[in-house]
Amino acid sequence: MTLYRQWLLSLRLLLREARSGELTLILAALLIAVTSTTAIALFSARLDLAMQSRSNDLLGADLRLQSTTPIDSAWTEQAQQLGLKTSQTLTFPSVVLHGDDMSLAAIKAVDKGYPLRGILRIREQAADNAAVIAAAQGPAAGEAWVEPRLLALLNAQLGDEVELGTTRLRLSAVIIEESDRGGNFYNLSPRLMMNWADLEASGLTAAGSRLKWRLLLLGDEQALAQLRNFRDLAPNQTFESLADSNQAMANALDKARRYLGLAAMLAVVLASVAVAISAQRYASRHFDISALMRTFGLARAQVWNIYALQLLQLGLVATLAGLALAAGLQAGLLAVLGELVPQPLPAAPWSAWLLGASSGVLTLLGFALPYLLPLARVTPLRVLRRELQPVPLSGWLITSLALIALTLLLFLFTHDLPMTLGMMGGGSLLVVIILLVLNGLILHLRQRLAQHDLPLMWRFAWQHLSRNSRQSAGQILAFALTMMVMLVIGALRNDLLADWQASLPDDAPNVFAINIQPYEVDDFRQSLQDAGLESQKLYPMVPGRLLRINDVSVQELAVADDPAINRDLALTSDQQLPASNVIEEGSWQRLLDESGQVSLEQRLAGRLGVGLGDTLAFSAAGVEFSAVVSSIRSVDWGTMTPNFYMMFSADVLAQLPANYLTSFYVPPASQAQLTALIRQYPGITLLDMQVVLGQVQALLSQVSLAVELILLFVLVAALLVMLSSLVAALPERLREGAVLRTLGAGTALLRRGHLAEFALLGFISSLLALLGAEAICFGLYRGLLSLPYDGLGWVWLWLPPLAAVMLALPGMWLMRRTVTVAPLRVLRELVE
Amino acid sequence: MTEAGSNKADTGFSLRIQQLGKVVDTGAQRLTILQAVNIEIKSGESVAIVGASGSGKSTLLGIMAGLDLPTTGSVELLGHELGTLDEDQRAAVRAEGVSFVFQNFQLLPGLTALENVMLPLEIRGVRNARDEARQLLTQVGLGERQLHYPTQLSGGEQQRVAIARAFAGKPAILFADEPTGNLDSKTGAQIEDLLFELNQAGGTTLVLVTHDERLAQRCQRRVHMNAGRLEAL
Repeated sequence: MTLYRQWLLSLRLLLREARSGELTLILAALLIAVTSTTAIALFSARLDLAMQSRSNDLLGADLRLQSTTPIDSAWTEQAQQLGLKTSQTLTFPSVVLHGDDMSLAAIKAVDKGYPLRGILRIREQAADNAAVIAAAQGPAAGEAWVEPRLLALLNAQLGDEVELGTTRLRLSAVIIEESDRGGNFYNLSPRLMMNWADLEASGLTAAGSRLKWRLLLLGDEQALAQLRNFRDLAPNQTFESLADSNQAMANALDKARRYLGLAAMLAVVLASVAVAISAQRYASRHFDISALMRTFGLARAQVWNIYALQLLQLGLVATLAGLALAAGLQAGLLAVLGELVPQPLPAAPWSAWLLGASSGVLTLLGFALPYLLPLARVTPLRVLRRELQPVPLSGWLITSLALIALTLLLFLFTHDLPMTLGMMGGGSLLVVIILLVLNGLILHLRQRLAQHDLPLMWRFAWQHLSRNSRQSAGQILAFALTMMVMLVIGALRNDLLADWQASLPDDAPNVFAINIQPYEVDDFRQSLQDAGLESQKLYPMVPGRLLRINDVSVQELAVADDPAINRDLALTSDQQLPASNVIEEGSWQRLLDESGQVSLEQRLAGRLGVGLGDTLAFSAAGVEFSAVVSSIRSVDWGTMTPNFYMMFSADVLAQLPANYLTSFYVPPASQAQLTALIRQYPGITLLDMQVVLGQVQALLSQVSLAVELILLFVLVAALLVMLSSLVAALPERLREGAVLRTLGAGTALLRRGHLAEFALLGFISSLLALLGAEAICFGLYRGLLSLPYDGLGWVWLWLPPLAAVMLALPGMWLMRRTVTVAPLRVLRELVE
Repeated sequence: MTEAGSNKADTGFSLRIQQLGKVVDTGAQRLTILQAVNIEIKSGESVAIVGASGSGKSTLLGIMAGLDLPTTGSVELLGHELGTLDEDQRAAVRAEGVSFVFQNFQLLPGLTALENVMLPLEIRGVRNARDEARQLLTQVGLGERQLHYPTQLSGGEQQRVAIARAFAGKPAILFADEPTGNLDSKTGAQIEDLLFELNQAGGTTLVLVTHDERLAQRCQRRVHMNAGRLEAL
């Protein structure tokens, strides 16, 4: 028999079996695997792309070169030679004048290449209902665009002229959105955007401090990488990209990607389990057919070919259908999500489709093949002696094939080898342990309950759950785990920031004031008092870098990559230990009694491996100095009061030029006082923490909602595992139902039994999920975040019944035949 | 497919068995199931093997049909010495001219009656499998029920389908294992009639295992299996 004829035969058999419903289950399981993994792959790929492009929007480029001095034009020339698009910006704070009014503004001068990427939307009339247009370029020479807040502060209107340094600019538009504005604390004064050509006339670039030049770069990764190696950066220059900028945004994105990857992993595992269950059932139902084909004269290899070809074709059909279904599914999902998803969403890359397709192939190879292999080894003698089963593949072989397939799939999904291996190693160990415990509990309960007469319907329910204790344990785990993760994420999304804010006293500071010059300190303090605003202490602050630990350069130490090494630290000095600090080691008093002392924050000390008596050398304002660690403090960073890593004895800071900072509380009704303060002290930067927190909250919501949505898929996958194991047990259930009914059990009793069974499954899973979520949240709140934790509250009331209904509905639907079909017919069909 | 024709010898016998023995090692002990079995069955002959349950009838049938190998002795089926063939070569011998009827019918539940009959024809690469299968089903009286699935047929009807399938491709030898064992006596009698009609019409050699004396009586020759030994009756 040629391969072609084997293929024809396999196709015919496949079609015939598909028509008779024989293949429905395995096809459905495969379809589920491909659909859920592809939908998740597409959805996360698109969301990922959107977030990436959004954060590229936030960066305004693919890569930025940042410098505190003008950037050598050689960089721009080299970038353009490499085919990169470039644009230059310069930002600095400055006072803007309009008649008698003046305000500190965050000035941004942009060249004609701006914006490279990202969104710049403006309104050319100030009215709220005026048309918003996307600007393809920044303001023309002689013009300025401003945020509405600046118009208010300056009592100005569009068309008015403002003074900036020694130049005059006409206000021609209001900025509605500037995506690369940046969440930087130092940037919160209202924006004034001007043309690069007007810079020189303003005379402001000579001001010297707090100027930031940025070369924005857009292009392919290779060219960007080449440019990075173009020449060494000066100490005051850095590259900023999503990967290496230490922005919170980049970290949040990375976390989001990991969470999405984790959620995807859960769905993959569950879908694979569903395929394995279905394949096992398919194989055991085909032993007879295999034997028969051998008696018809087919060789072992030919039988094997037929099944392999069937598997291939099944996989192909499921994959194609799954891909189509997944496209619809994720489109529906996005439609439901609406504005919560960044719009417009980029199309999914082909790699996401390929990933979905490969999940079908890998799932078949890893989870179906091991069960189908023995089909070719069925002895033809089985036609005479039905008890002759083919020797199944050894357990370890099945397990390792599954593990290999899963590892490969998970890696494809996450592109994160340590995470994949961690999940496969630690994760599977954890799962095995939990499963063993659950299984043991069920078996223990079964023994205990065996001596009690439960009501009949509960006895049926409990018997079904406990008979296949391992299977039940697996299902409970799948549901509980998914619900638990959803609960934790939901709690964090909704409550974390709110809880933190609630934990602060009502009059906790909400505005930070920085860059207060020494000569302004007394006046500023007085002004706050006059405005009825109560401030914290004013601390001197000197930005400085840690150079050496015990005479060894930090660059040579293992801590060279620590974020605290590569940026300026706020160095301060004070007689009094701040209220939110506690001395953990050493003595605060030495800081007061001796010279050349420093008190170090505990966590940083841990990271740097610095202890009492160590000598730290710093550089600040061009001066190098050193100090001995005489105490180590723990700091509560969540208090909204000024806190410092390094606090020195007074003599150390006395030699350095310091400015001052503090924080204070502005009641909502006193915003006008804040504006007045800004007017009064244009040089002082005032940071409104409400705005900062609002931005963080919005980001957190978006990320966690995305993860929760994918978890919804995982939940469906878990549901399908339950259904496939139910279908696998359907003949047994049918037989049992028929026998019970011949014994006189009514359909109502059987239905109640099923209802009780699935409700019990949902109930137990949700209770476990709630317990787990409470424990995790408690740990997170109390342990990690030191916040009060109130528990999940109402969730305890609505989740268990919801979970019970969620499982009971499909379960009852699947079991409907066991109570409706004539018992005789069932018994006859099952007799072979 | 492996060709098994190289050592074929036309002897006028469908089946020749010499000094056949079967010993099964159960781990704890060696169990002798068949010993010193000798039998020769001519082409076109019908032979019944009768005996009590556990006497070794089915084991003998399995070895005769090349589904299993003896421990000692030789089996020559349709001119092929089975002992010299591997499993796939024995399958090729079966494909060439061996078919079966089983007590439990062994129909594929996912295929219709027609498709069940077509299957061996398709495996053997018969071109007009569908027409031939239709004809056979009409011959066994199921012309109207070709598109029914096995579960929609009665036991007798299922066995008719099985018989139609067994005669599809005009086998040289047909092995039947308790073909009426699962049927009531009236249906059983009808199936017997059908079996012998087709056997005679096609000149097929028929080897059947049964403990039904009445069925055995209809065969040209009967042998008795007793504790692994064959005795002529």
